[in-house]
This record gives sequence, structure tokens and C-alpha cells, in this order.
Amino acid sequence: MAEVRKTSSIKSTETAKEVKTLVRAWYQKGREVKADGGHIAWLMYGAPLDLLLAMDVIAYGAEQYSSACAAKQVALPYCEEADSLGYSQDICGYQRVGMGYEARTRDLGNPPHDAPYHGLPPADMLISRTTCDAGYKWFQALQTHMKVPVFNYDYLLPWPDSGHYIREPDQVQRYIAYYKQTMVDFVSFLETSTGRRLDFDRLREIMKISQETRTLFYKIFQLRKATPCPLPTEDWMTCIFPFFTMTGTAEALGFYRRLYAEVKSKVDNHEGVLPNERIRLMWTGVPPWHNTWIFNDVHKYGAVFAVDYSYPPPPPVELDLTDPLEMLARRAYYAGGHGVTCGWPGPGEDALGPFSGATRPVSVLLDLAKDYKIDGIIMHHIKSCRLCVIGHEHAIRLLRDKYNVPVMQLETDMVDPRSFDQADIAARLESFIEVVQSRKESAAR
Amino acid sequence: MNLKGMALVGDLLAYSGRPVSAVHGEKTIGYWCTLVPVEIVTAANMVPFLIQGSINEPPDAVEGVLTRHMCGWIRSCFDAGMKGKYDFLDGLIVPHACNNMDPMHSMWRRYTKVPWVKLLNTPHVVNPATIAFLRGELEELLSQLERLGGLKVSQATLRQAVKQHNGLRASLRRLSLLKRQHPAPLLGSEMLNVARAARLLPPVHAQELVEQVIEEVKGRIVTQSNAMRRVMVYSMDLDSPELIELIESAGASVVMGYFCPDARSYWRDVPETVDPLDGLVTYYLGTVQCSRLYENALDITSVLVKDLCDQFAVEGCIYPVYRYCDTFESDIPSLNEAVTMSGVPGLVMEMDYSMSNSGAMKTRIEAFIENLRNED
Repeated sequence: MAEVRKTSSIKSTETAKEVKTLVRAWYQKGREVKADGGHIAWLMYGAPLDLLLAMDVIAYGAEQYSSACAAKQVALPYCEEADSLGYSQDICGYQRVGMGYEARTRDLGNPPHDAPYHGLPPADMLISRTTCDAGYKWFQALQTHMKVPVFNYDYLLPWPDSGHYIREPDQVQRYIAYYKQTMVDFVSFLETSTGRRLDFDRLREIMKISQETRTLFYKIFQLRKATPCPLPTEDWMTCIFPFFTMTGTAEALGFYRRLYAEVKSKVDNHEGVLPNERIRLMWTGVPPWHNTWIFNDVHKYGAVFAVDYSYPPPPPVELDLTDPLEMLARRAYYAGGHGVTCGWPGPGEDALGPFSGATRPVSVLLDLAKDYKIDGIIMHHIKSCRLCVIGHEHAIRLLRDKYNVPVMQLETDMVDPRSFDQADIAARLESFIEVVQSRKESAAR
Repeated sequence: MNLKGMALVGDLLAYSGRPVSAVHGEKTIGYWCTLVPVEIVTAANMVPFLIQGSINEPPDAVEGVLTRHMCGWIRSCFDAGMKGKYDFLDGLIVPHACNNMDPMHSMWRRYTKVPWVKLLNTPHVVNPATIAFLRGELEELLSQLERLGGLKVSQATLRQAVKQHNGLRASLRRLSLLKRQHPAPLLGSEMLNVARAARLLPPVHAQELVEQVIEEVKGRIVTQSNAMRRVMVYSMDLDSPELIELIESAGASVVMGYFCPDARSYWRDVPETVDPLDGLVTYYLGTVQCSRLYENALDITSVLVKDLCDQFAVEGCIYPVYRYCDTFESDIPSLNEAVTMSGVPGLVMEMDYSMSNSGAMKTRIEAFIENLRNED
């Protein structure tokens, strides 16, 4: 009998298995809200969800939907649709899937029959974000077809200036003042689009829930330092969904409370994913959503992806609700608007840039490797994501040659399955793990 | 040696470095992209010096440092930096133009000898908040350059620098407008070389150079085959004349090059305002029409293309797009639409920043030109 090709990961924590139900409920809620005359937004992660929730706008991440298409193995037709529209395969895979999905939905008059969650609820507004080029070029193109208002969240990252992340106080204040004005403009946009006024007391309540959720998200990530690994990458990559889409809701908070309790219990009881954990790996970059089985596949070697450098939560910023918009601005500066560590301080001589994958400081990767007791790093070289890959060669050179850390680069895409050769990747993973194992044994002698 | 006009252009491009750019020992500040306010550099008594790539040179120094899955032009520029070509610079300004360019400020800091590297965080959208933010960025840049040069810059000095650069832009436009003649008295590749060379000199000297070229070109007697077709090249950063030469060798006369550092960088002036920073913010945030600007949507592109085609009697447009240039590659479908809307036949040509595939590229261009001839 031919071996069945596995693509989905298997979760080891019970709470991670709840995500499917949460996601379905969130999409169902959107359809109900839409049917009742409420408002739906499609967005790029980064705009503060707290404000959307306070305005009763249900938001769906465009990137998340593309990753769902990939996970459900239906991204390929959308990629091909994007090809036929003239989009190069070099540009962001999320963007190509999203453009292909929108074009097919427009042609059909409804979402395609196999679209995940019966399709994205139709948008009443679009919220782009400029952190990456795809984040605004994608929505600029959508805008030509979808006649709905657009808010361009020009989230100018506090890039290191003259090599330093930690800026002079007046520089920090200038960024925070800009972010605050952006929040004010965003509120104005939402008020105009929905015909409602923002209730600041409601916003404060949502921000309290959001703060507790962020704190839990951060603390859960810290628990992953434990040996044996209590929450592997295959689980974490699923558990990020409520954070990026629903932070500020009671449902997300409840989910992270349960997840924290389960992971803490595993740590206290020394329960891990594997009965005999021999190798701990780190994953950097967005996963190949069309095949997350590779995270499970290393278990047969006694290896586990104990940590990942894709969505590491930043330390929570102290909550001060005196001026909620000022607070959101400070959070955007110090912790990234949605949890991605944009302004995380700590450059070191190896600093490259503050964003994703290895363009973040190499010193941060080294700290993670030490804190999470990592034996080897696998970097996902996503050909269609400039933010993720520009610094890879540099980072690998330093990690391997200067710091003697085993590193492997996997070159695929996050959603386009055409660049994924499972047999080749499995073989490369096996070889890499042999190297890591050998290095570990040598070090032990 | 006392070269003038096109001869000096050739000499400048063959030998670029501090002795040429800094006439009286001024500091030389490298910059990338039309988004950098060169007026502020000039006002600080420094020479703005355009970083350029080399399409024919293999980027071998960056192997193992920069991925292949990124803009080949930026890779080539950095390759030149790693090879020491820009070691004479006293500083470098890198704008937040796109994700390809963003990490370059850290990379230059680490891998080259350039002692001061500044990131200029340029917004993507135009609104009161971004206007205020960019103004703050420009004030900060000015203040850092003042410290670097030990010189306080007055508003009058900055206004004067704006005037000087507008003067250079006006001269470059005058030269470019000569190509409205039939046949055009200046090759597209020559125009690009003049624009490139002008970015290696202080603006007053650069303007003198361009005026010399204008006089030379006016005196030319040009004959051209009737088979030549008048073509516009619309692109992003295209600093290598080799590609323009290739297009011209395929039977086209490139009468308009709307890309950087050609017409996009001089087609409009910085508004000369009482507070010069007001004009600079207006120009660098909203006037430079680049695909990294959110407002630069399909309708604006097609209006611009149509207007330039009318002015220069363009018969066809060629749109070279570098692979991994996410902003411009994202525009390909809308560019195709702009081509249709403009009514001018167009060829969108995806390419690496390399001439290694020049045979195939030439064949495509020749076929396009042949179609233009057949439409007569």
C-alpha cells in the first residue's frame, strides 16, 4: 500500500486542539454579524485589534486566511489564479493566494466551494499595513476591485538608527506621537465607516483583557524553555491564531488561560512531547503552512522543535489606561502593534534589522538558543518574503562560523506548495539531525 | 585635462570618487534612491553622491552574505560597497524605501568602511501624521549632518540648496525635452549617463555640466532610420545604460526614461517654500512617484504614462521589472492595465539585474518593435 502523504501536524497539547473550534466559531460570528448589518474588516496584522473590537468590527487577517488555504491544501488554485493575473511567483505567497482567492470569488460571485470556513466574510473595510511591502501593495490592488473604504496603517518601524535600537528620548517621543496620531486617525476612520462613536470605557475594558492575554502569551512562550519540551512548534504555530485575530476577546483570554495551565502543569510534572527527548531544535521564519507535518516528522529521531523564532511575544508593556490611545501608541513602539517584536531592544554587533526571521539581531537568536537549550537551528528561507530572508546568509555565516551553532536553511514557500519537495526536505532534515547529534556527542565527550 | 560636456560625463562615470565629487574637500555623503533629500546634504556643505550598481559585474563579494532572493540592483550596489568602491564616503543615507533596502543600513555599517550610516524612515502614505513624522526625520537628519560637518545650517542656506537642486532638475529636464525632436538628438543611454554623472557632483557644478551637454546636443546633426520606433522606458531604479543600449540596438529610440536616476528624479521640482522643510516634505513624501507610495495607484500611473507618451510622441512603452522588487512586481497587473488604458502598446519585461540573458531580452524587444512597425 502506498504511503499516505502527511501534511498536517499532530498536536500534543489538548488546548491546541481547541483552536479549530475557535476558528470556526470566529468565522461563524463574522457571518452572523454581517447578516445583522454589522461590520467586517480584512486586515494585515499590525493594526490594533482593541480598537476594532471596541467599535464592534470583526476582523480577519488576510495573511491568516492565506495560511488557512495552504493548511487545507487549497492554496494551489489561488496561486495559479494569481499567476494568470500576471503576478510574479517572486512576490509574497500570502499576497498571491489572497489575490487569487479574491479574483475567483469575484468571478463566481461567491467564495469557491472549497474555500476554508466557507470563505472570508465579505469586507466592509480594508486595513493595510506598511510593515512589509506586501502589506500595502496587496491591499492597494484589492482596493481597485473592492469598493470599500481603506485605512492605510503606515506602521513605520522604529528601525535601529545609526546601529542603535535604543533611541534618544526625543526620538522615542517623536515615534510615539506619530503612532498616537495614527491611532486617532484610525478611530476617526472607524467612526466614519461604522457610523458609531468610540466608547473609551469599553476600549479600556478590552485593553485590560488584551493586556492579560498578551501577558499570558508571553509567559507561555517562556515556559517553553523547560526540558523536556512542553509545547512544541507544531502546537505553538496553531496556538498563535487566537492571539493574532481575537486578542481582546473573552474567548481568546479563556483559551490562553487554559493553555497556560496545561503547559505549566506539563512543566511541573516534567512531561514532554517525547518520552526520550534527545535533540532540541529551533525553527526560524513563517512555517510552510501547507506542510506542518515536518515539525512532527523529526520526532522519529528523538528531536523536537522546542522553540521558534517566528512569532516570539515581546515582554508586555505596563498598562496605563489614563489615555488609551497613548497606551496603544506606546505598545506599538515598545512591543509591536500586534505582538510581533518590532522595537525590541538589544542590538549587539550583529544587528541587522528588527523584523522577521534572521533579519532580527543574531544576538537574539543566540540568546534564544541558550535559554531554550537548542542544539540546532533550521531557518526557513522563504523565497517570496524579503523581510524573512535578506539577512539569512549573514546570520548563518555568524552562527555557524563564529558561534559554532549547527544551522540548516530550508528553501521553500509559506503557502505555495509548488516549491515544497517533501522527500528532499525529509532527507535534508535527517542529515542535519545526524550532524547535530554528532556535534552533541562530541561536546559530551 | 579640461574635459567638458559628454566627455566629462564619460570621465566622471569611469572614475568616481572623492577627488571629483568634493571640490574643496567637502565631506561626501552617499545616498540611495530618489527619496533622499539631497538638498539637506548640500546645505550642510557636503556632496551628495549617488550609490550605483553595475549590471555587468558579477556580485561575487556578496555571496554568502546576501541572499539571491532579493533585488539584484541593491545586491549589486552592496557588492560594490563590499569591494571598497565607496570607502571614500564620509557617510551614507539609506531611505526606508522598501524591504529590500531596509536592512542595508546595518549591512553597510557592518561590512564597509563607511563611518556613518543613517536610516531615513520615509512613510508610504500621505496624511497629516506622516507629514509631521517625515518633517521630524528631516530635522533629525539635518541636525546629524550639522554635527558631522560642524556647521549650523540656516533656513536661507537650505532654501539656496533647494534652488540649486531645482536648477539642476530644470537643466536635466531641458536636456530631456530635446528628445521630443524627430529624430531625437540624444540617445536614451546618453541621457541616463548624464543624469548619473550629475549625481556625483555638487548641484551647481552638475548643472554647469548638463548645460554644456545641452549646447553640444543642440549642435548635433542627427539622422535616423525610418524604421526606428520612439519608445519610453518606465521602471524603478535602472542605473545601467547597458539595458537602454540593448533596447536601442533592437531598433528603438528611447525618447523618455521615466525611472531613477533618470526622469523620475528630475521631472518635478521641490516647492520653494518660506520654510524650506515644508517644500522638502511635500516633494519627498508625495511628489516622487514610485510604486512604494500607496497613493501611486493605477489611475495615477496611467495618467502619467499617457501624458509622457503624448509629450514625446511615444509609440511604445517598455517596463523592465527586476525580480524580487516586491513593490514594482506587485504592480505588473496594474501596469498591464495602465498600458491598455494609455492606448500605447507596452511590453512588461521581468528581468534579473544582469545582462547574462541579453540575447533573449533583445529578441523580445525586437519582436515588440516589429509589432510597433506593423501597427503603422
